Amino acid sequence: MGCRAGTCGRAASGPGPLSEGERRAIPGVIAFISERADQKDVWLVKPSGEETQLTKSPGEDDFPAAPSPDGKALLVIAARMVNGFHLEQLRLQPLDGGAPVALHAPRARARNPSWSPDGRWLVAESDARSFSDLVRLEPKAGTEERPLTQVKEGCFEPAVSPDGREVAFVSSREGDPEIYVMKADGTDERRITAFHQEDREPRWSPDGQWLSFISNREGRERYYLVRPDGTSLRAVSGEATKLDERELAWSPDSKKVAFVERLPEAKSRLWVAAVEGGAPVALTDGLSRDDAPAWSPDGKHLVFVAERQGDVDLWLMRADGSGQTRLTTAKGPDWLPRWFVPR
Amino acid sequence: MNSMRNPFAAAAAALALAACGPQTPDSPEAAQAPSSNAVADAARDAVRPGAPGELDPLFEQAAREFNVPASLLKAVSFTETRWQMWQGLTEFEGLAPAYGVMALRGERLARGAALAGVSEAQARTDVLANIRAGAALLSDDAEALKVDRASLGDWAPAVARFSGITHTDAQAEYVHNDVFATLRKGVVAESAQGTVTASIMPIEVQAKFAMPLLRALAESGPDYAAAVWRPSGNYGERPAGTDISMIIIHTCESSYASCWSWLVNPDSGVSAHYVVKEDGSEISQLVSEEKRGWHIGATYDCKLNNSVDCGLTGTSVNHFSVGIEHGGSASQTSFPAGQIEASAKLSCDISRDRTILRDSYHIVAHGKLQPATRTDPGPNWPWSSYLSKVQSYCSSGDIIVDTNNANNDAAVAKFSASANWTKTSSTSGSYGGDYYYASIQGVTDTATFSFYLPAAATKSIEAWWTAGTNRSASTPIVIFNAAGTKLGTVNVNQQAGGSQWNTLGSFGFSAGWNTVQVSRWTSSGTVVIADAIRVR
Repeated sequence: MGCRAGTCGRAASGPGPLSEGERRAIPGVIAFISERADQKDVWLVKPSGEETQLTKSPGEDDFPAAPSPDGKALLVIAARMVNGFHLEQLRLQPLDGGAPVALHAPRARARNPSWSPDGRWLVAESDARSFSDLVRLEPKAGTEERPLTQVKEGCFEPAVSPDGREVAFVSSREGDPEIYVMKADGTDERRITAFHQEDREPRWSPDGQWLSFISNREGRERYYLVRPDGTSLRAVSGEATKLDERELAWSPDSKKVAFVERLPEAKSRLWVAAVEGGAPVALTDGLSRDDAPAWSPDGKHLVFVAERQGDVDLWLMRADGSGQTRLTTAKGPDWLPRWFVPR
Repeated sequence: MNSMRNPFAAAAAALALAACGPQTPDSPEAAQAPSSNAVADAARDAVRPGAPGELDPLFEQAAREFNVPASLLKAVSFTETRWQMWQGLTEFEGLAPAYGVMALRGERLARGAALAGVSEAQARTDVLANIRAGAALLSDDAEALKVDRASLGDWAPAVARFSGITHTDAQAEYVHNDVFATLRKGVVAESAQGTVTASIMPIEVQAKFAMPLLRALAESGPDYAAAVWRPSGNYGERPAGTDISMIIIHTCESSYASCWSWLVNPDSGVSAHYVVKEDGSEISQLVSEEKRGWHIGATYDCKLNNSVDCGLTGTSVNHFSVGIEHGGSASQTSFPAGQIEASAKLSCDISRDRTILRDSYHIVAHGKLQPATRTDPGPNWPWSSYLSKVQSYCSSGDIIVDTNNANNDAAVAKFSASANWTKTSSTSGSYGGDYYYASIQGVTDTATFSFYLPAAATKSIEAWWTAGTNRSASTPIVIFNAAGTKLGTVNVNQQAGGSQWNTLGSFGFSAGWNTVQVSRWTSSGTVVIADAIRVR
């Protein structure tokens, strides 16, 4: 079960670290948070290691959210304190370094944006009219926020389906978080999960055939897969993991998911599981804290956050766990990677 | 598994055994009864691995040596630590960390060690040295206060001094409602092996000490009716428009009375919104939920909380959270069930009033958000059951029985069906993710949902199924009480009403395991469905 001898961890098969040539051939760019300055800024790094700073806002923290489908910009959540009042703002940050476009006035809650596939609209959590409801807005300055839900207990974590027709989300109207799906205009809601424990973090497979979500229904945090019609529910990890799981990422071909198993003493381990079933395989050895896997656009590599060599940095590896290579080296934590293809 | 027994019965059994030699395995079982005595709740694993298994002989030895009543020494230790070895953790700056079963701290620990002739290191980590240092301190206090050592009630002022509490009302609460209440009620703790580790025989005694103030109902907290309102001045205003979005769970690293009295002291510079007593019998509210308490010295960093609510990063956690302290220590090996229950009810109430998500990212450990200097409430806080209790209190105590027993609270809910029933998730909208079906047939072969009631009660029964055209339009669901008496049969149309709770009616159930059974004995449709029931 899990990590077969010699196939995972730092001693994994194949020469590591990755060669310069292999790294240069990996597509795309990775946006991440760096804490090398006083505030948190968004940086970009190519798999070859070349870095550029994307946002620079003293006195404010910027978090990378979702890259735009056209690959020309990145949604950033900017957070700052004004007179002791915490404010959030969604901004569209062009990758060419142009001025960011604020989508709305700063407010207490503006989070978890999810793009339509054509890039013409997005859905986000907002407190514009309530505690936390989902709104639909366009990626331009001063856009109108159209409410899609009205639930006083709150709706959270929207995920637009790959075909743009539906939105999966979390609602706590039953007293605990449950997964729902609605049409992209806010109509025809259907509940996907029903259980008196937490179900959260709905994420579509890129082919739209599955939803993943996390639940503590069995006394620990585990990822499950379910068809978008609510059938075929099963745990991702089978019997392989024993402890809490977190940070699932879908492979671009929808055939695999990578996720993290928390281990004692603040360590954690990366796993990959095939959607068609079978025993998951451990990608890292569990000797340090390895978190937040994200797939390369061609699905051949993963970037992840690791606390090794005394600092929190981004690391690269092949999708089978071999060739683990430190990618960022600046002092201060580097984390929250988002991998995409810029245009 | 540990157990706490009715102190009278268990103490009598222990005495009888001590007097009569080898015990028969079943005699203590006969004396066992569910204890309603909150003081006697779950003082288990009194000593850590490697330390002596039995505390009673150590208390006796120290009591003889320093001429202190053994029962008083034990009651003080039980009040402070539940007879667990504390490891000296800090919760409040300015309050030195407490060590051992006697919770000795700071200068008092140094003086106790000197009086007992042991090193400070020994007094911190060795059980006997710790108890002897505590006994020496109590004795020294008694000498200074001219206590009549032969009269247990006369020791009250020495007990008050031992506590280190300076707040007058808290002293009185500590003496009367904690230490002397423990003496009056008695308590017995057992090891995992069933041997007695420490015990106090119940004794009629009154502390010679000023009584605590009588608390009128009007003194309940501003936000939680069950809380005693003990206002602290240590608070500020929340930033305008703050969305109160988290509950932070703490342990005091001290006893309850010591904790709340410290937090209402203007000099301490700290507070919490609530403090929950060890046995759950009392909760103090110190700060209105609307106000900004001073309970966590950290700015929020979402990396520490699974990257949830990253937008709050950099904000003081005190801005947007409600803090709950618990009498006890992050180093203790277990938490009393009564304290967990009381705290879960409180968290349910706060989350309902403030629209806080009842999940593990919004009900969070102090140590999780301030890992550099804090570990509370520690590795043994029962997170999973705590959160599920918060959920169930907020869903008004319903019992839900699912077809997947991994999802059920085994203490109150279980499901069984014969191999003729098939598990599937092929129709959407099932409860918990899957359900069972069986073909209709004139046989007695039911799918059985069982639920436990501690006392007889009239409850409404609801059933959940996945609807479909091949379902029976007249599925018999039969309701039985714990004695097996049939209370009624309800025929439901499972072609309709899918993926929702359908009320079957109200029935008078008995104490014990009652059942709701889905029967195959019908002539309509192709299959019958068993998915989940809800008892409310």
